[in-house]
Amino acid sequence: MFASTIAKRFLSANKRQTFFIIFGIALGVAVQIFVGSLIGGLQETLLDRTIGNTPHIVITSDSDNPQIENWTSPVQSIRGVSGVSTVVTVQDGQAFVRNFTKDALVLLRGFDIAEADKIYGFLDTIYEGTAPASVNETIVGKEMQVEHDLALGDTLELQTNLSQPFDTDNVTIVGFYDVGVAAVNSLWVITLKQTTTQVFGYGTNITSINVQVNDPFAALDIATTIESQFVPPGLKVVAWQEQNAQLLSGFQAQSISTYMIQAFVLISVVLGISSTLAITVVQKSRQLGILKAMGTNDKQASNIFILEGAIFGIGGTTLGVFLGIFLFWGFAANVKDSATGGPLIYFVLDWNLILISAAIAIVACIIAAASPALRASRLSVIEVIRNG
Amino acid sequence: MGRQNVLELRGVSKVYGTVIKTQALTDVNLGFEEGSFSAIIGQSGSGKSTLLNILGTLDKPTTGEVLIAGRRTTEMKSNELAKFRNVNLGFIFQFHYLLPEFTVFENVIMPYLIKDKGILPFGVKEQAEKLLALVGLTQVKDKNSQQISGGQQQRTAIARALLNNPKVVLADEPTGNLDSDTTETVYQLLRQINKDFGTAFIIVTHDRRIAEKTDRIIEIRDGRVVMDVGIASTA
Ligand SMILES: Nc1ncnc2c1ncn2[C@@H]1O[C@H](COP(=O)(O)OP(=O)(O)OP(=O)(O)O)[C@@H](O)[C@H]1O
Ligand SMILES: [Mg+2]
Repeated sequence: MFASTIAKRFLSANKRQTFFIIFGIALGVAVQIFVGSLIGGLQETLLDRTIGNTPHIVITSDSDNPQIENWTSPVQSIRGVSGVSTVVTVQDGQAFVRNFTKDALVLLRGFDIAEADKIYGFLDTIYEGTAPASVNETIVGKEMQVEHDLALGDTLELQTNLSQPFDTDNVTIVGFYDVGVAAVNSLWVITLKQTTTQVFGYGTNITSINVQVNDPFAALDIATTIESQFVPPGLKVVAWQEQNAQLLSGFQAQSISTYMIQAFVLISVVLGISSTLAITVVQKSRQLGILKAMGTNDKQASNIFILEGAIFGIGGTTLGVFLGIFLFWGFAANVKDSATGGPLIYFVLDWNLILISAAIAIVACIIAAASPALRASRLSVIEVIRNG
Repeated sequence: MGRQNVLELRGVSKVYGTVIKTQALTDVNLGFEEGSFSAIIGQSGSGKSTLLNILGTLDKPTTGEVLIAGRRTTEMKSNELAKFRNVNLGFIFQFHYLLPEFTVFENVIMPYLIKDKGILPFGVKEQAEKLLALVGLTQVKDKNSQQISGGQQQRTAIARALLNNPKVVLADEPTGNLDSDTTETVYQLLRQINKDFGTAFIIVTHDRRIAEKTDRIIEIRDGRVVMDVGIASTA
């Protein structure tokens, strides 16, 4: 109460200095939040592009025979594993398109279209034609359409057994899709399971089980659970992390450098406040001497500066949070991805990051005030009184 | 006889410095009664301020004891001493020492604020107003303490020293920078307060004319008490 009266008056008596300190802290906090949101946002966008429309866990045969028999009960069990959101069964394989003049190897994938769309989301990307609705109807990707100059109603002559060049199946193109990934657009020929059953002759057997989970980072653990409890031997279960080790280590390096930037910003803020407050203690030593002569005790004297630190911390952090969010918003709104023309990252606030940064900054400001506060408590009255 | 000493020095010596030693006080024995009005005189460098600071518990003697209402200060902790100063002592320093960030009125109530008892009670406000009227500062009470004259600052310091109704007021050259008319006014004021409230005053001064108007003159020379005479009180 007394200490806060004095602290507030000390600060308001020197508004310029107070403003600059608060602004300095605000800049530090703003940079932390901006950099943190930016890196977080970029990682999220990148992650979404990498695994957003692909299965997180893929279960395939471990032997030369790609077929999985007796899959209904394992699939049933996998659907019940906690954290699993979607399970899609696939019947696919490579095929040679005889009427293509180059790059004739494609991946023919048979799905239950409505079910598979939950993972791959290709229905919304059909820009011409419709989804396959009956046997021998297919859709192909944009790159394939362009490369081979395809039109709706064109026929693909598929050959699946290299040693039998005359055993071909004809499928018809009923639509074109564009999922935004060239590797998929140029390679996948999507159709119903009825078509693949005919082409590959697998009957009711499937070739892979595709799983999506709620938290992509839990995929590895869930894959382990599935492998050990729910699939018969002879199958292999692979989580997305195992195929994207480079991306993950990139994320990790990025996160570490973000933490380092944040730590250095924090350290410079703390040093700045600490030294400014130390100067303030010297500036105010005359007043402190008078107050102590009148009976202010050491604890009250140090509380004045702890409170100044807290006021700087709370004021600077509040301003900094607004500033940081504003900077991030400005970046998200104005910086475009040169490839797509869309935003490079989305304006999504990570409140965890913001609250943690703010809390750390406030605590750091109070800690930074500790050494000046100690000086204030130790300040000897007689030195001040004697030296006028 | 029989009035109790509020402040007492027993065999107090003070040595400044560790390498080059300055003996500022040598074996001083003094007692100050409640309601007394004393002057400490002596040449520059004789040890007056040193003595006053030790009496006010702002400084510690090298040897000897300081007693407050019969209690040894060496037995008291720093917080206890701070509280004692707040409740029982008022200081008027030679160089005004007001807090520049606060108004005249705020400076006067500061000794109450230090008690940290929350909202200012009406009684304290009234007391501050009364003291400000007494020292003739009602007109300037809401001005910043740096925007008034030296004499007004001195009177503010007097009002502040009296706010908590202390037992003793210690004043070091309280009229040092004032013209003789103002000096006269300030002394009459201190005398008045001494009479009305029974506050004891210990005043350091180099002005003999002032000293002669007090009840007791203590002269210091080279750190020793060389004269201690009581003048029959007119009261
Ligand atoms: N901090 C100090 N360190 C060393 N010596 C000191 C210190 N303070 C005072 N002295 C010395 O102690 C002696 C007494 O000083 P003091 O300030 O008590 O004198 P004073 O009587 O108040 O003088 P004045 O009338 O000039 O104010 C002087 O010789 C002075 O030089
Ligand atoms: Mg002196």
